[in-house]
Amino acid sequence: MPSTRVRGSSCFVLLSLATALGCGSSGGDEPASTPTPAPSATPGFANARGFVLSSFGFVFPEGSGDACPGGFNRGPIEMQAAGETPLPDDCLDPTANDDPGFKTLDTTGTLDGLDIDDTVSRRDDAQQCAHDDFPAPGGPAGVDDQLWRAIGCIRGFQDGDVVESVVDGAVRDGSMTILVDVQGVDDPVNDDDVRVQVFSSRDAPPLGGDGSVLPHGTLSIDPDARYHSSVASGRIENGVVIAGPLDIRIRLNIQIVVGDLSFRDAYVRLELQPDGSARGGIFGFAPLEDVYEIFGRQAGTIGGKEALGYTCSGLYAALTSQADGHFDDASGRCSSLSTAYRFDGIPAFVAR
Amino acid sequence: MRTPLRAALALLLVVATACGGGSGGGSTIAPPLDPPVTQPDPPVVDAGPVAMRRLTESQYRATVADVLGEDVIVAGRFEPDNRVSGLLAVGASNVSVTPAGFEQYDAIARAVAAQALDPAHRAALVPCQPSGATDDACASAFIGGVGRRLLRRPLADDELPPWLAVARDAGAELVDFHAGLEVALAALMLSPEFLFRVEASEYDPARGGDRLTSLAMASRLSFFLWNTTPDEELLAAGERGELTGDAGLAAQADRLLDSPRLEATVREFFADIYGFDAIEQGLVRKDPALFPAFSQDMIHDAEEQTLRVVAEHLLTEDGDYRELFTTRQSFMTRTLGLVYRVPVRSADGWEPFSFPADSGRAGVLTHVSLLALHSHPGRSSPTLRGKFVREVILCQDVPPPPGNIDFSMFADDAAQNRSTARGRLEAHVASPACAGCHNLMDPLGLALERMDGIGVERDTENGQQIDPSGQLDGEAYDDAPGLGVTLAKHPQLSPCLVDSLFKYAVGRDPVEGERAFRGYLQERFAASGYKLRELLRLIVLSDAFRTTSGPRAASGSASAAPQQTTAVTVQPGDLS
Repeated sequence: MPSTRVRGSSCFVLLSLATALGCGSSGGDEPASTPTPAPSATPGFANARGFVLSSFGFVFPEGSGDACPGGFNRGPIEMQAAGETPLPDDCLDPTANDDPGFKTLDTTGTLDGLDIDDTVSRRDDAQQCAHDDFPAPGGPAGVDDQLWRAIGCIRGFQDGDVVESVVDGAVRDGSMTILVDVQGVDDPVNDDDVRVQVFSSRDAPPLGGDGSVLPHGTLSIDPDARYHSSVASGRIENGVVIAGPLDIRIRLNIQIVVGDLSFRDAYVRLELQPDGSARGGIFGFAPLEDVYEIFGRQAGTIGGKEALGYTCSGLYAALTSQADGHFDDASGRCSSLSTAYRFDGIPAFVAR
Repeated sequence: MRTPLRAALALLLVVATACGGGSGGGSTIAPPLDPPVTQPDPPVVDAGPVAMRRLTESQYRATVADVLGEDVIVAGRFEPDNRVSGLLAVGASNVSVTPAGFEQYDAIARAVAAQALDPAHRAALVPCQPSGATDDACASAFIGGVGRRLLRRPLADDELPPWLAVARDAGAELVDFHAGLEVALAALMLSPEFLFRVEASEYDPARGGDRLTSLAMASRLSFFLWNTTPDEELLAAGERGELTGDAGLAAQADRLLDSPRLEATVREFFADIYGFDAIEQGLVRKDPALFPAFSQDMIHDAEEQTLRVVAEHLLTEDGDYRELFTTRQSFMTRTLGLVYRVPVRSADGWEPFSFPADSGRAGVLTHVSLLALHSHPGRSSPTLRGKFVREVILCQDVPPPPGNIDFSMFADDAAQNRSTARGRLEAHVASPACAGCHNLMDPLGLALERMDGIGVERDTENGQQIDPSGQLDGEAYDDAPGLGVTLAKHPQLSPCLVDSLFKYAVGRDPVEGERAFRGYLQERFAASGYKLRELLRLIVLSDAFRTTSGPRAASGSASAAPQQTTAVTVQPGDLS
């Protein structure tokens, strides 16, 4: 089980939450400027900073180098192109076959995430579900993102490839609308007591004539309370909000891939921008079976293997081997993977 | 079956050209800004002429809904309206029908007739079961009933046979009784007496001079107060001659004024004076790179917002007209919330909204509709906004710009550090050729500069703070809400509304003989607390609304013909 301590990487704003956590105040860092004040005094929206996400995707390591020796994993198409018979592979039963050549990411590159298990670990540690942490860019080691280690050598998940464009489209077209709401903001630069929630919404973000997500739209939270995260306490330091832990469930309905993107014991980081927008991330543990349901069982059976370049057996085995959270005594294995997702937030009114 | 339609077209063009098309005829027309003569009691009126008024698109649609069914779809492009003396309602007296426009009316009429007589609708309109493909008795019942409503008068005995012949011939040819009625209905809808409101007058033995006939009063009342054709009760009262008498007229006027349908006219009038036809026609466009929040959905919501505020304040709340320029009460949709940057809980539809006291917005002048309408595609325009206030809200004339402007003086705004509109417009004011008019317009528009080309609030332009202060005819204000307060106290504000509404009612500019009456109206309007419903009642019960000098002279004619006028009748049998 992950601890409650969290350490930030890029911003040095590791905050004490329930317990004294992280790196605390940056001691002399000055905010770039005062973020734009919230525009509304309407009851229910006062002292709130809401955002609708305009992009959402994986945090990619920097300086990975040749992290996937010999190239990316191979899916059925790559195997056929090499004159080979594609491996037997059943996405509905991924343990029925093996893909012994399936690669996971082996890199020493940095990653702009969080140390969500409060442990700087290596794969040869004696602890349960030991794994290699990433160092943060210019910051401490200990950043957790085992999901990326599992899928980081799949072509379609790379920066600028299929998954990124599909997901970025989904958060804009209503297929996967995500809202982040920060309540109790008395001072958008430094505030030691704010509350953060993440919601799904069935409203599509408002788009402008140029295709951009427009600011100051009002979006309703999903009527299904399962898609309301728990409420996380947090604080703002130098214009950066960090809050957690919280459990998050995001509804996605992308073409015929229908499911939930779930996070347990997650932290949310928001860097408030002078124009009222925010850059941030969600860092939490994704249940292994939920990840496989979306990326393997559903996507794999409708052409995902071919489009992205993987086998379901290889993917499932990689997810299992890289899992690092929520140890399950019954199975003797970890049941979740640490993740690092980044997002861009456009100011919005979150209607509860 | 084309022969009657072509004949109708020919007559329509002749009639329309002869009776309309002028720019005001030879009548003596008082400028709107002439000072009214005050009167304690209703003054003697020497009313102006009547003219044929083409149905506006909204009147056509409302008539079809009322007569043929609310679910009958009217699809097609209408002849463009013509704005005269600031109003489309006045322009309706100055238009004809072009051949291309007639083709559109033809197509619309055929489509409407097909729906009205399809199996789902015919039972509501055809009061009998036909005995076969032709059935004169049943066809007569339909044509007599629908024709009376469409032409806004009963059909004369000798009018019915030609229409009946159309239905009979078509029914026999098509071996379908209802198909025959469909052709007759389409032909009726191409009658000049349907497409134009023909106001007949008669000698008034009690008062001397001419008055509108009782039937003409039914139409005038209905189109003025409900923006549609007379309903059964009003038409029957007109047929009984009750609308030339004070009591009968008052009874029907009060019924119409107390109806929720009064809102249709209030919306139509304010949409007319505010120029919202440009929004309806999709003519308001913005640069999407500069104003990504602008969309046609948004600007249509903005129009609806303003009209809702007008109707709510003036009718539902029975509010003071002047407060339209100061009220912070409004309505909001999520689409509009993007521009006003306010939260809107209702996911689908409208909800009441009150602008906060410190929002910088109060009154309709700070609505997105008017701000976007009176801006350029790429930026705001204090000049256009100020011109709108002067001309439309205060009925003051602003001369057109001279033809010899030296635009080179404005070419180097950036070099001369003219970062804000105020700075740029100072260059205009520095030119004697421009100063006279810009000094009238610009200060009003500069008060609205904290709202950009689509009405989004801003504090700066090009990094410079925007100064919205100014003065209106000697009265200073600090910002847009202050302009609204100043405007609400302006002595020309309510007289302007009175004049515009009177023009809207009679479809023409006022004449000299109505000058005293205008003064009377203004006084009574003020005495009522500037209540619109009372102003409407004063107008419809007045001699100016009920009497006339006769038909307006055709274009080029020296004067209006003084003789009695009669309704134009169109009989297909005469035209074939």
